[in-house]
Amino acid sequence: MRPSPRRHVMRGTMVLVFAACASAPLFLSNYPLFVLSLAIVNTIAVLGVNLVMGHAGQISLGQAGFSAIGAYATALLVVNLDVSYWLAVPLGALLAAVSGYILGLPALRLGPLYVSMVTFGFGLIVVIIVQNWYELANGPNGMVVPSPVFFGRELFPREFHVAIVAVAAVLFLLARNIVDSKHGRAFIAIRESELAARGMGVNLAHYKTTAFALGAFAAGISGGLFAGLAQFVNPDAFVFPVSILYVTMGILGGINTLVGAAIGGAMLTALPELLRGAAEYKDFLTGFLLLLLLIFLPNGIVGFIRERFVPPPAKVDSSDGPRVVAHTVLPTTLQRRGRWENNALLKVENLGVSFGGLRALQNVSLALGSDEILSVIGPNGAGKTTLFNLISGLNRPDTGRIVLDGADITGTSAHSRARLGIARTFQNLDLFGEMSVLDNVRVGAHTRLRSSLLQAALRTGSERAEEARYRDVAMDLLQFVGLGPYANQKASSLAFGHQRLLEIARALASAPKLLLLDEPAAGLNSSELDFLMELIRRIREEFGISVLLIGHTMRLVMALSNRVIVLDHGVQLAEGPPAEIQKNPRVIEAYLGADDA
Amino acid sequence: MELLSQVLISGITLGSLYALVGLGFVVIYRATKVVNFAQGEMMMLGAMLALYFYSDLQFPYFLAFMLAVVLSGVFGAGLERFAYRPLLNAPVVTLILATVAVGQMIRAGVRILRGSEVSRFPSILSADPFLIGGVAVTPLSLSIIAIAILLVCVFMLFFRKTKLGKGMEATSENREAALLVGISVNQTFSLVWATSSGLAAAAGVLLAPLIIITPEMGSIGIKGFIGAILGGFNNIPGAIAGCFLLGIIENLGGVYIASSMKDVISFVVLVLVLTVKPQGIFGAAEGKRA
Repeated sequence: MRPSPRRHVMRGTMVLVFAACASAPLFLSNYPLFVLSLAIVNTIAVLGVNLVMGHAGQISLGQAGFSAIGAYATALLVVNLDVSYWLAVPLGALLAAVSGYILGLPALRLGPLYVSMVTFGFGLIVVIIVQNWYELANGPNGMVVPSPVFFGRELFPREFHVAIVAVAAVLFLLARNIVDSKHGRAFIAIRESELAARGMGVNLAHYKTTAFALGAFAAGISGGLFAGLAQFVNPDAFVFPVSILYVTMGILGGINTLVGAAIGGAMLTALPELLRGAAEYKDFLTGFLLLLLLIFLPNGIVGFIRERFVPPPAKVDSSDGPRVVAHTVLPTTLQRRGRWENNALLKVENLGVSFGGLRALQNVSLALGSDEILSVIGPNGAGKTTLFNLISGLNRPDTGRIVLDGADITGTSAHSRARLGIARTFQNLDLFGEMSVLDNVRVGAHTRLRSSLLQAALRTGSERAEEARYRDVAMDLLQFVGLGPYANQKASSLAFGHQRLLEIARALASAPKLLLLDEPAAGLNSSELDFLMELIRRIREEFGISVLLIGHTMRLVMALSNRVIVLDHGVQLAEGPPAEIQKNPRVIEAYLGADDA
Repeated sequence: MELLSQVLISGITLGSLYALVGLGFVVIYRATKVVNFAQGEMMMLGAMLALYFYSDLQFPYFLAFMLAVVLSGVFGAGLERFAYRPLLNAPVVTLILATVAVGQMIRAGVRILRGSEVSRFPSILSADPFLIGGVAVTPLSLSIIAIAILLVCVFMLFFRKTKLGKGMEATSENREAALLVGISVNQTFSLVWATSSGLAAAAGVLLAPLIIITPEMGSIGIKGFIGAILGGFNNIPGAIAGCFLLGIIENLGGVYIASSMKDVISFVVLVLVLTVKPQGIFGAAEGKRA
């Protein structure tokens, strides 16, 4: 990744801030230093909130519960089993991460309603358990934790502060690496549109549970450090208002940025200390602040600064509009992973599905050869998009089979179909609006990037090389569809026609065998349509990708298709070359109504 | 056997209160797709207001009850206007957080105004048990069950039969379409929040004699929500049945496992049910199109 000047400034500032924090014991007296230590410990927990809520878009109201697990596990290991503090903290954090992973499981199938409930309940349960755990954890009275020992010597709080800063710095670095990787983009893709993310091959189950595990890990570390800092843990430190406080800190700073965690964490730790109010006043103000932020400043301080003071990214190039670019890299970067063996790439047999009594599709069969363009047409409600949803795996058929390149894929999930070589666009445009145009395409290549979460977190050489390679592929694809100049802009800021093209580039990034285009021409003007037709032709001819296309625009369908299939009320009406279909009386009747009516 | 029937009675008593609160949750959820995390606090507020009118100002019980319910309803409508309406087009997660914030403000606000001291609601009806078929019941719990069931029935009729109730249903199905047929969405939402807050307050007043009253008592309110999820959110009778079931499960668990683990048990049951049957025990699966 080539850092821009702005990145350099950010990086420099972060280094300065960490250096200042680390050297604070030199010039701060005990109490302000303790507040600073506490702020950093809180910031680490908020970092977790920002990953789960800000990036992956999953609500979590039990962050303090994970901190409690980290803190109590550390305390129990150190006190009862004589484990070294420096081993106990990561062990506690791992335990928290495992709990987060398990807690994330219900989130797979359930909406924010249930996830908020389950995480809330979890936080509550953890506190109830430690409150009633007299034998080991001393119930509501809490446990005393000995001061951490470093190479045989007990650390003073002033020395321990430096350790806290070091841990925070490492965690921020790891988090930034993850956020900047394939995995971080998958998180944001899920937040922006689960449907499109699935279509791009993002395994929702994996990424949601991973997000919860990462968030819980950060909270667990924060809890372990808190135990070392306060040298005392009790249930009151992890009650529900603490979870709310973490969320408020995250939103105050800017929930979808990592820097926001530090800003929010520092401000909301320091402010109440300055005010010195009673707990109920603090709680009231936290609640009030959270409400105000949600209404007036949902993107927090960082978001506010970005909107007000940072100019939107400029176009890379001055030339306007889509244009065909000469390219050299594309055919090789889009080379398929092995050619298919069968002449029929896709075979659909007797496909049928009903939605609550409505038979959306009945007995539809089709075969698509390699390098072929097959169009599906039909009046509104004919079942065209339903057919696409079945082929791309977003819905399950009640009857029939789908065979891709000789393999039955009827039962496979949407994300694995993307991996097998099916890519699609969406009729109603389903881009990741808050991501950059370039990153949208990079999510499209999700299944082709192989680096693990650990490799991404450590930013290993191979991971960096892979990121760079696919960044170039994405850039090439943008050039190919004529969106090169817009690479750094927000996807939602693109004009409508450009958004359609971006969907195509994003789908191509997975190097598919089969491209499903759902009404790619809807809403385009005539010059945009010409460009699109040229593009589709080149996709077939130069990349050898077969295209299945839903079309309302007859000019496009008739000019490009090798064959056309007509659907009406979920039933296959006709199939044949375009010229034949145009004359078929049954097709004309379906579109225009019977003559004798 | 006697212990079991005793546990069942107290479970049903608790369940009827959960049903009142749960109904409020369902009403808000169906109209706005939001979980109201402040629902338990509205319940606490109802109990506090009733205590204030009845004990401090010496109003008659019935008047204190009505005042608590009506004032809570008005407060709920005010919350809708100033806290939730500005967020109408925000993501659901944002709205959920807003209710969390409001709940915390109510809780802390009551602590500021009243202190954290524990109060007891003077008993209206005798808590002396009498025997029905060998099982001891108190007039208090019987009247609570009766009033709660009555209220639940009244509100179900309201949703099913009146124009206003149907308007709420229509708004929840499709906001724009409701607007097009002349339903005022803002008015409907005010009404939804007012109704649901009133229901919560009623539950709070009824619950008050059974437990000690503290600013933290709202955490019981969340049980109504769990019960509703257990039963199934998209089916009001199912949700209410779920609330009764939860009351019974909790009491059984409290007696046969450990009373301090009541809350843990209810959440474990919730997670189990959600994992096995996400639409709830009595809920029908919704046909879903991607």
